Amino acid sequence: MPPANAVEIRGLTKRYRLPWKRKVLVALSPLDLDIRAGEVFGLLGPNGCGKSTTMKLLLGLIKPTAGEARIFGEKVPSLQSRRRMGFLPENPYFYKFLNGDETLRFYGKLSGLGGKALDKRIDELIHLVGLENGRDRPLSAYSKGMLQRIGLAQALLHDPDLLLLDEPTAGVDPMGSRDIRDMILRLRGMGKTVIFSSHLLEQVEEVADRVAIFHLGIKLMEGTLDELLIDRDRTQITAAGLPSDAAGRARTEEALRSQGATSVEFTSSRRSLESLFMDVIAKRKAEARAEDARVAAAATEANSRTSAGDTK
Amino acid sequence: MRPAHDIDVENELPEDIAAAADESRWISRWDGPWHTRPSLRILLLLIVFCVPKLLMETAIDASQRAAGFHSITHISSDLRSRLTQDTLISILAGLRGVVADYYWRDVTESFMREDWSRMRSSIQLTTMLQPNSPIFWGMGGWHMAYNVAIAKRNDKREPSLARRIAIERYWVEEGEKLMRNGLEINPESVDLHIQLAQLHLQRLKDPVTAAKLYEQASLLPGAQPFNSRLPGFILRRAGREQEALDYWRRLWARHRTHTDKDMDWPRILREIRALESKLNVPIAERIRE
Amino acid sequence: MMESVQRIFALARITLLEAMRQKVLNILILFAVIAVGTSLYFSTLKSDEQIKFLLDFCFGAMTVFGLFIALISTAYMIPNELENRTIYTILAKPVRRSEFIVGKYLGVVALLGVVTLLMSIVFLIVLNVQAQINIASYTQLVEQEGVPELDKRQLITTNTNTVLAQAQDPMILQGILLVYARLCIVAAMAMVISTITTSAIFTVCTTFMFYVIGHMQGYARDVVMDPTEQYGPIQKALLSCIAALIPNMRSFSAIDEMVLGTKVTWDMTFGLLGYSAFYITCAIALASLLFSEREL
Repeated sequence: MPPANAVEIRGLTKRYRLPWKRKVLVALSPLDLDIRAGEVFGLLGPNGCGKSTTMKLLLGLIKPTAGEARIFGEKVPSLQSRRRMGFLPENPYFYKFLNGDETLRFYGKLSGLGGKALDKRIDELIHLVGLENGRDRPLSAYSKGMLQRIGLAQALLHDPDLLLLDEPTAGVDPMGSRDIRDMILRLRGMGKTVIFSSHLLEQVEEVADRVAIFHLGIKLMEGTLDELLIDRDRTQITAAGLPSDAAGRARTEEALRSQGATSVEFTSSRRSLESLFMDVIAKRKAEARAEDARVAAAATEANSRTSAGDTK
Repeated sequence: MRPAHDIDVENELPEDIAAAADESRWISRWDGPWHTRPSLRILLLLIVFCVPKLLMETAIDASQRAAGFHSITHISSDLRSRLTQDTLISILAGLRGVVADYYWRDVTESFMREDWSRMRSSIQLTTMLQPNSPIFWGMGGWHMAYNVAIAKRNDKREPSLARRIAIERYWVEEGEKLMRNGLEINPESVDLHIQLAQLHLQRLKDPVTAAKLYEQASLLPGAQPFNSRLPGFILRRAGREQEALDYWRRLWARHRTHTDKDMDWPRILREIRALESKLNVPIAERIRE
Repeated sequence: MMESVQRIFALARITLLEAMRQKVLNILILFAVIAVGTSLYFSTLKSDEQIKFLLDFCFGAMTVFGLFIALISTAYMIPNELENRTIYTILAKPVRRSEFIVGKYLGVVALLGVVTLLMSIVFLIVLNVQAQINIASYTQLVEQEGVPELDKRQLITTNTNTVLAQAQDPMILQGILLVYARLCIVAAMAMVISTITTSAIFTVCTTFMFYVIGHMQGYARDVVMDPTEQYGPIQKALLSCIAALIPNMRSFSAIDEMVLGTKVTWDMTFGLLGYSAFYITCAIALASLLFSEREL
């Protein structure tokens, strides 16, 4: 039976010594953390809080001062544990002189793939991350969002069960950011465990099953979003068509108080900027598509008319 | 690309501190089994590695010395000057030949301009960089002992003839020294022997040394046969008849057969007979054909 | 095991490819121009001396250009990987640190191989063209001098044989192999140093310094191997370190010996190549150990 936990961290610590200052810089205080297989786990916190350090420790890029960690029961750092992990670093840069296809081929070889299996896998991933147009382009001509996609494809090459995504949406435009969040949800649907870090809290809120909040190398809290966010004493009611004048509000408040409410606040409902942005863009896209269709139809019509004229 | 507040702990460390943090790992407590300790493994590797390395190097050096490599081509035996020369040669990596050739061109150019001190330092640099090319020693010495010396002799800016002659002599001796130095490093060079012999004969008026050098040249591989006749003629012309005869006798004894055309034995024999009769050598002691 | 080889090969290939696509080979055009220029510049010398100088120059220029490429491409390798963060994606894959070092080093070795090969081709072409020019001009000279017919033919044949023997000496091949081995040793030293520093400039300077000291390593070895030498303990310790760690670059003076016309046997060449291979193996093993301990 496979272990229920994808990641088990026990007392993992990282300190940097600054010898002549006689100071010790604590990058990560002793950390205990379990991440279940199949969940999306968000590491939250300001920059420099220990998120990246935790990921680097899991990958064996740096060595812990104390403590240990296991990935699906494999001790890290080890070749075996890395076989089951895929990593997307923050702001990834790959070899600029390679094109998308060559990049994936290179990382595929490193992951132990080869031959037909690799060709097939590359096709799948290019399709999955939507990079058909970047396949033969050198990475030097890639946009930030495309780099993030190729990075994700690279992390998924050897079909790892656990994905570590360090700030996957940093520096990406809202559209790209949306795509990446959709991708994370799709990966969860495929049964993958995803750990990702972010300092943009609302983005985490949308996709994470559970989160841990870090500050200065210390894990402050951990839990499901509901556990952390639901304020059981307060209920938010969103209603359309209520009267907005003082008398109307007083009547509504009266009604609520009669149900036992101790305090009532009125605010106009406000949507998030992101949802507005997404709506506007979606609307414009739909319009453009309609426009295209109209132009195309007109052109076809004109064509058929001229050709009809020719035959005369 | 990153905003100013966007700093990782790792990146917050300046590079030198990060390096120091790295170093601190070397002395940090190792909790694995003692024999897996990285510093120990590195030390072990170094020890295991350096013994065969040193043995191989010694063997290679020995084989190269045996093959007659000029591995020590120093122009002086003084350690400091040896190290200077080594550093210069290795810093120029492979280009020392080119730099030497550049300075050699400079020798010719400063000769044209009659810039003698510059010419001398260029000669010294060339020979330091290419000590194994006899041509630089020979030509350099020739420039000094002939061209510079004669130019100084005729340099009317110095009114005293006696002093001009002394200066000429000085340059001739400098040229001689240079060639001698070259000969120590290139004892196999026929050309250099001959050039030095000519210098002794023509500039220093020392036929005995010249004859000795010609004789040495004639014993080296690659010497022309007529070289071996020169010492005899030079000595006789200088009036050193006994020494000339001694030389011919040595030459005669060195060869088993005396029929080689290139050597012109009949002429040598005529020379020997003339000397023998002039010096009244008893018949019994005369050379037999 | 097979997977390990595949990973090393992939890393080596990418390193070579990177150098190629960054047009490192353009430096060879410079080499060709300088080689041709030099052969014209020094055409005032005696003909057999001239071939000798050309040989000397070409081995020298191959070393200098090769050193340049070996030092720069090795020293900047790890710092560039760190700066571009590509190293994180590579080491996050099931790749051992030692495989990374070996693969990257083999990439440099392959690059140096390509560079040396191409330079050798230019070198041999220039050498043989120059030889033909020398033969032609000597023949013309002899014709004009009015030498008797019999001697004339002999003189020309002798000259042709001497010049061709120099220009097509099979020892040139040994020289090229030794130049290549020397470059590979320098790259291996740079590799070791670059695993323990973060500065590429430092690596370049230190490696070059070691290269220079390597020419004098023999003195240090003499002192260490000879117990009668009178030196203080600190000096002795320092000299021991030099003798133990730094390769003997002086033994590659075999290349200069070839130019001077000393016979260098294949046995000797193989001895030197074997020594180089041993030194490189140890250096890369050391680099792997050091790199495994490094925090990234």
